[in-house]
Amino acid sequence: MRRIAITRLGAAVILTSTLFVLQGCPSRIRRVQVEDRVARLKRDLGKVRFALRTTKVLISRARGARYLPNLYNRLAELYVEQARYQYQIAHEKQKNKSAGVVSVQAKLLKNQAIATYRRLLALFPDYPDADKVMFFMAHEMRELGEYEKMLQAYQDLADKYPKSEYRLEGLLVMGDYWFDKSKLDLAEKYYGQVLASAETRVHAMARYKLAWCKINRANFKSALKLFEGSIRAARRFLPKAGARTKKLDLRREALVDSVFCYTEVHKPKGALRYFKKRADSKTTYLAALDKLGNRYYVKQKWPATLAVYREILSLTGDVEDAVEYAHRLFESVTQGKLYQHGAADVAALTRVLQRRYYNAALTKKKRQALYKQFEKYTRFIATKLQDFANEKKETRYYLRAARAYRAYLAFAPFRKDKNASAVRGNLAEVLYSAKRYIEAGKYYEMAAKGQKGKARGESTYTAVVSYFEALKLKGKKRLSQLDVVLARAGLRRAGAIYIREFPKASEIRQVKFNIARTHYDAGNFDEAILFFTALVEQFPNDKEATVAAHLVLDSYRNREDYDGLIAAGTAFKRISSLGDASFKGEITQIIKGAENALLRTETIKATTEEGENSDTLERIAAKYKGTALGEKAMLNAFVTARNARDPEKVFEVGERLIQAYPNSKQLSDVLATMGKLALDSLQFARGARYLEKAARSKTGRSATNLYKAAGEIRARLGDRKHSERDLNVLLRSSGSAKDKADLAVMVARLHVEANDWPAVIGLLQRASNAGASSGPLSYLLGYALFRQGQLASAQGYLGQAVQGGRGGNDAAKDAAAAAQFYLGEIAFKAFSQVQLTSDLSQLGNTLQQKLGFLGQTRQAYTSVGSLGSAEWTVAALGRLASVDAQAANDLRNLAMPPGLPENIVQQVKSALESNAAPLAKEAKMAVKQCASAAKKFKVLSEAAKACIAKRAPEGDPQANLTVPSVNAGRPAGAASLQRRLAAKPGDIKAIIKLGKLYLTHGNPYMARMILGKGLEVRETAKLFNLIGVAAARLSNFNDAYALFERALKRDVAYDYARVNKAALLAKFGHAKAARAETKKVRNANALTDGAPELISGALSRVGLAPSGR
Amino acid sequence: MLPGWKTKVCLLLTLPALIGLGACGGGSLSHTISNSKLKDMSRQGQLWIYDAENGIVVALDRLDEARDELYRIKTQLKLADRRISAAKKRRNGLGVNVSEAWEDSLEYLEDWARARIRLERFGVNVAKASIELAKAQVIQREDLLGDKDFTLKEFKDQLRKLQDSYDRRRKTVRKLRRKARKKEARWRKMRRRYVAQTGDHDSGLWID
Repeated sequence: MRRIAITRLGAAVILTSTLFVLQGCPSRIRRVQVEDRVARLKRDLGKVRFALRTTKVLISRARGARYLPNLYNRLAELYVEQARYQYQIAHEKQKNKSAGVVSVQAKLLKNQAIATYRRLLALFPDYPDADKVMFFMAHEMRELGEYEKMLQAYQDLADKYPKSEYRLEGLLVMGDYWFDKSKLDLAEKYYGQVLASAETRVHAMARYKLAWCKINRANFKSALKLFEGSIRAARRFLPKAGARTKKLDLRREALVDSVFCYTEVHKPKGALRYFKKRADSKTTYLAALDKLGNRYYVKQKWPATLAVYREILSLTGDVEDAVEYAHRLFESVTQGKLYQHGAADVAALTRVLQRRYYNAALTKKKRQALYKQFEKYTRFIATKLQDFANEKKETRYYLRAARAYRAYLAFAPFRKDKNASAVRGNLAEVLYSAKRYIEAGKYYEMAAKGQKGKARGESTYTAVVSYFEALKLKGKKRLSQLDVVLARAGLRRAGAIYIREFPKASEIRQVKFNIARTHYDAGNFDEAILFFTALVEQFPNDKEATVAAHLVLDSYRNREDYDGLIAAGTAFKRISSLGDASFKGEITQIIKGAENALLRTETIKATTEEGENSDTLERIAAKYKGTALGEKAMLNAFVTARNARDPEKVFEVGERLIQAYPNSKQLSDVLATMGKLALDSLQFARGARYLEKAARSKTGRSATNLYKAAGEIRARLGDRKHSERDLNVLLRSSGSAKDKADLAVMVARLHVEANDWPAVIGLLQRASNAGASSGPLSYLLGYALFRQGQLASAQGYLGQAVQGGRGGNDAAKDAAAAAQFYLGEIAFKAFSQVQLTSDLSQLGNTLQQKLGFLGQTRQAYTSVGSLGSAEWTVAALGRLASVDAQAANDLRNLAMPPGLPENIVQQVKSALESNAAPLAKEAKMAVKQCASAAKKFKVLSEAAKACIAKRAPEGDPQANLTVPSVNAGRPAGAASLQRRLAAKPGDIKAIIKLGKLYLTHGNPYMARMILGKGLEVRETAKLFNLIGVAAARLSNFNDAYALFERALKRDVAYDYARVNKAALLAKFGHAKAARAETKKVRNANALTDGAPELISGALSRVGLAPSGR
Repeated sequence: MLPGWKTKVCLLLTLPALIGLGACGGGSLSHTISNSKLKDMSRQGQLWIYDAENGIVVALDRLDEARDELYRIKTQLKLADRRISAAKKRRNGLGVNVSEAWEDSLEYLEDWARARIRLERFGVNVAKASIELAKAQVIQREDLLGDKDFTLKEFKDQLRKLQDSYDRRRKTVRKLRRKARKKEARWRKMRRRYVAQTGDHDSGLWID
């Protein structure tokens, strides 16, 4: 809307004018006098008189003028006007009197007017408005009560002027006249004449009047038709004026008057539509309805009455009438027992009350009375409607009853009425019956607020049930998402109230269950768990308790909280009164499933790239220690660690697994894995331990193999105790004789190195009894017996060993050679034990015996050479020299018996010398051959050393063998190298480094094994050299020498190997060869004395020590 | 060689996502690759990087989950507060203790939820590092720079460090969760005791 801009000048003007006006206003209030009506009429009369005079003058002057008739017409009109004024003056003067008004002047003037009209018609018969003149003349006659004249005049008009518009009006008046006279025939005649002509605006009235004629004749059907026609005609001519007279609105009157006829002619059904169609306005319609309602009311047609008053109340704006209508409506309802549309009725009544109640004109008493009455009305109807609905049991009636109650409650004062609570309760009930559960619940709650005690409890509980029913709806009646939320919230709210106020009620458990269920259905699993758990704990015996328990577990499952599920399930199982055996079984299954799921998820997490490793699994294992789940978790943690290639972790987890679950079926596989990993990471002792443990859980060949492997590892590590233990198990098993023998020999050698001969004998005898048999075994047993002085037994085994060496492998051949040597030793002993006596009677025998043993001894030693062992051949040759030398000495030093003649003594001595000299010579030859063989084959032994020194070796070549003590601990830095190797077993650098660590640390066994593994990966000079050093430390000098040679073959420039080789040669007397090797050393300065790559004192031995250069 | 129209379209599709990473929050990375270096990458390279971007989506999704969880816990805390007040009003000292224990467990849970949010924010950073690595891989594979000095090692190290840090933080978060569980177990125990002593199954749970 645009504002009118007021300029400053305009504003000033307005202000000034206002001030001026206010200035000019008198200070006192003026009293306006009431106008004197008589004086005014008189004044008007005066004007008319003047007009009359003037007209008369004009008439007198207008002789022959064309307008003269008009003047006469005007004159007559003036007379009529004057008459009217006269009458009004008389009326004013006489109006307080009871008698009728009489005005003689008026009468006379009218007569004058009639005369003037007659004169006009007489003088001017062709006057164009003659019909009008006649009509007005007849009208004046009528005014004067000259009805016969009037009738005549109208008749003349009708006859003479058949086409005049005044004709029909004249006929109409005539009809009215006869109607008023109750001459219905004549009235109908004239009305009929009107209707017979073409339709004009007069016809409406004619019909209307004719209709009344019909009514009087009780012809209601015709009357009704005529009224309908009258209304149509009136409507048609409405815009053209004439439909509304000053006194009569034909459209309205006809409609209203037709009511009676309608009620006589038609049935009530359709009445409202009928009148609505024909009413031109709301007012007309209401007027008709008012009459119609009244008519039906009188006739006691209650349905019709009700419908009409209902319609009226819905339309009317008249408050006072509305109250009356409301009473009528209520009466109709009650009289007719018409409750099925009570909703609309109650709404109508409350609307009426709403408008009337707040009227300021009402007194308090009236207001209260009105309130009381209408409250009763509305409540009565609504309640009756509910009863009706309960009878019919149809949803639509329930809904109507609900609407009725809502309409009641729509009026604010009713909401505070003492009956309001009951009404709300009823509303809730009908809504419930109509399956509008959410609303029902709401109203039950509202009803409960105003109630106490049992009623409140019932209402609250029913609210809960309502919400619950709402949530159960399915299919087309299913709730929208919003409604679902509302229903759940309502259930919880009402439920909480019920629980708070009626904790001991029998329905409590059901209520609690449903509350918990809403949380579950909404996906609020945390809350669902809380509530269902509390329910189970409170009512464990209840049939719903098991369902609740299942839902708790399901909630945990939905959250993937398997820990919680397991804990809850376990707790439920402990409640003895909860469920039967079948239920407990179900819970057990669920727990099992959860355990598997837990493990599955955690294992997957642990093994993904972004995983958290096995910590979680270990935690689970710790938490569920002693259970199947704990075992599975531990196993999965083990697998995870293995896949992560973390050996320490594998061992750690594996150890814990073994400790916690010693009877696990997976144990053997775990141990095998750990064993393999240990061996891959060169933790041999550990590997052996695991293999042993694995073997314990296996049987048959698998166990045997494992024990064998473990025993071999132990033996190579120099672990006498454990290797023998493994051997004992192997011996008791069904392993092959060869396997048993091989391991027995390995273990026995350790005992030999430790000079523990009883142990050797015991072990090898056990092995032999257990079926173990091999050349080396026999040899070692024989040797041990030899060392213990059990020569006869020794001989047997040594002989077996010699036999076994023929056609056997290198070890067997070597053992055979050694056995043969010791057979020679035994013979040598026997030879040595025979003492040549000077007693001539004994000398012959002893000499023969000694020579015999000499022969055996020589035979034995000589046979060694054919058995293919350089070392033992050298030793045998050396001993041969010893034997020969000793024999020669014995012969030479034989004491002569006393008293023997000198020449006999000389002869004997000469004879002895002749035997001794060749023996001495052979001894020397043997030493030479021994030295030669030693040099040729580079035999590194004490025997070889002696021979090279041109001495016959003495005693058992193995008598002084010593093995250094072993430091079995793990050196610093080994762990990380082992981890590295576990990840990458072929890491040569790590292997070498680890080997050197152990060498430095003082465990040549371990070093040898580690470095030997390195050879499997790649043969390098370094490796060969280092293994050679380890062998040397274990007094395996020949093996060490071979290894140094292989190192030099790989790398001729590898000085460490060169020096080591030279040192060994020097140690065992091969000085020239040692020197030759030493000369080949390229860079002695790069060599460090004490380095693990060198055997002890190597540089000094070969003269390359820093001080010696 | 100028990129073809398909490449241009793909770049246009990819770049907003790449640019949008800047708005994702979290700290900045020490090794990044500017998009200008990728302008000549092949379709395969684009797809490679596009795939890597899924990590961001996943990380953001986790972050949203964490935030939702915190919101839920805060709602529970408000409820717990009301329970305590209701118990105080009833002058139920034991009930107050039980309700406070519940509140206590929720507070621990809140700490966990907050820690989880911080963790997942960091996770977004890790995802970003993964994308940078993917870009680096594309550069190397397609020799986009022609620079022999370009190396993946820095990007791999960057991702690895962040991943390791993320794993460590996740352990901490899990620890907090375990603590919260313990508190919850404590509350359950207290509640059972309370019920056993008073026979009141409803206060602090059903009716508050």
